Amino acid sequence: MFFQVKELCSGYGAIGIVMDVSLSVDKGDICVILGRNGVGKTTLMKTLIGSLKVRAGEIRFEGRGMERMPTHARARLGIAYVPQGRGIFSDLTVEENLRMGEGIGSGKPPYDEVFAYFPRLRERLRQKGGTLSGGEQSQLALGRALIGNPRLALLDEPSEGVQPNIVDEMGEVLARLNRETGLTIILVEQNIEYALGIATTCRIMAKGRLVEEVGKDELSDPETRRRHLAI
Amino acid sequence: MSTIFSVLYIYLDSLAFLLLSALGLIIILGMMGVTNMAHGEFMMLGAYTVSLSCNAGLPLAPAVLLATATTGLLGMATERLIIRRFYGNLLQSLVATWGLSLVLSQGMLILMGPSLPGVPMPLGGFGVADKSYASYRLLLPAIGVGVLLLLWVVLFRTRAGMKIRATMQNPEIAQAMGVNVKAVYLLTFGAGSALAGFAGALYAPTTVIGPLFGNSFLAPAFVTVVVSGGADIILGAAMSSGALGAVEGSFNYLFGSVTGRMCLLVATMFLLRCFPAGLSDVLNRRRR
Repeated sequence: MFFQVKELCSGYGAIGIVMDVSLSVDKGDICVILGRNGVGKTTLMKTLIGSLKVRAGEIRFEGRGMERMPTHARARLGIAYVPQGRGIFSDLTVEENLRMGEGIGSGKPPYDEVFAYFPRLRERLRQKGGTLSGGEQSQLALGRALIGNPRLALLDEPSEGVQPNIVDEMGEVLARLNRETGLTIILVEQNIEYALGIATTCRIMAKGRLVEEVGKDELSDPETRRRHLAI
Repeated sequence: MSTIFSVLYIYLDSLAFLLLSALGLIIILGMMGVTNMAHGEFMMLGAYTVSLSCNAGLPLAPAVLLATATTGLLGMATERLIIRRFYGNLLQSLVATWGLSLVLSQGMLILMGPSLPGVPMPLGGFGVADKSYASYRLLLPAIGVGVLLLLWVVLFRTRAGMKIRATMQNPEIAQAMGVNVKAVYLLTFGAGSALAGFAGALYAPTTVIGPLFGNSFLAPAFVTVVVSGGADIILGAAMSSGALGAVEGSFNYLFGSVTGRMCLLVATMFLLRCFPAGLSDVLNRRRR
């Protein structure tokens, strides 16, 4: 198995948030995790990259247990993380933000490809990250992750606060990357339409647990969708 | 002519004093946000290293480098043992570093007594009109500006500097970009301590070397960094030491050094009242 999580538990202080989460992702999958606000999706992503400690359970990447590894070591294995709110270094220039991404995986950083996906970034190289619009920041966050030639991308609501046409564009980029480079993606989303558009597998999260795998077509049924996701 | 020169000499002397004493603190307070009350004691340790090694026969320049390295290592040990526990907690780090400063100065008093043998000032002097001046005092501001420029190059023109700035802004994300954040904090604090020791070493030939050596530097160092503000630490440090040096220097020339120091603190209050986020913030807003 390419990426596997077994009975994972984590949380803040005395409060457990992620409970007994198990998840298997094949190479080349786009695994979408859907769920309402506050069910623990972001906490799960933070635990996967290492910002939050694992309390119990396992995380295995290509067979290697990494639940005790520090975040930077996980990143260097080729795991890119785009946090909720994008995590742009606002006082660094766009160019410096991109160069920071080189620390993720190995190999030659694919600047030309990233600029082909997001031509706006090339125009704004000298600008500080904090001066970009929301959509441009999302593109920068994604571009920065791609610069590191990742093998697995953890994306936490990249569509949040982004205008619809850019969301569509990002969805296309993700699908194309997945097709062309075999990039494996775990995507947390609230924006169901575009997430389902690119998903190969789909899981629902509720109250800190991942419930059964749901077929994409099942979720296009409005009744099922409301049961799992309605607010 | 001679008046102009002696005013300029006093001005450069004040500027060098402010800038050099602030050098390490620019990094430790300005970038890392640690209120290091033991900053003066790191300068004291730098001066002690110079006094001991110079009086053992080492020339001043290598002694200064030795002092820089020694305080850098001590700074790294301090980060590992004490500072690491208090990031993001202003009051706790203030109390902890204040405690450290007492331990260091009183410990030195017990260990080495109330004073160490002095170090002769190198380079000799020269006369303008009928007054004489020390060449070393003119070298200090040049060194201060030079090191500030070097700091800019390291922070803004190297990959390591970029990683440091990214880490200080958002350690969580920097980590996810493969940066070993703990190592960056350790080395950055070490670099700040090394610069403090460097400055203390440079001032060793100018004054009495005792356990309280750092006291006269601490307030000016904090004042310079706080007036500078965090928006652009390099330019800010240049601006604040330039402006405050002008105030201190001119009142020092007119009414003596005690009045000069008083006016420095009054000017600080005035500047912070008008520009609470520091001088570099004013400049930054202009630019946008």
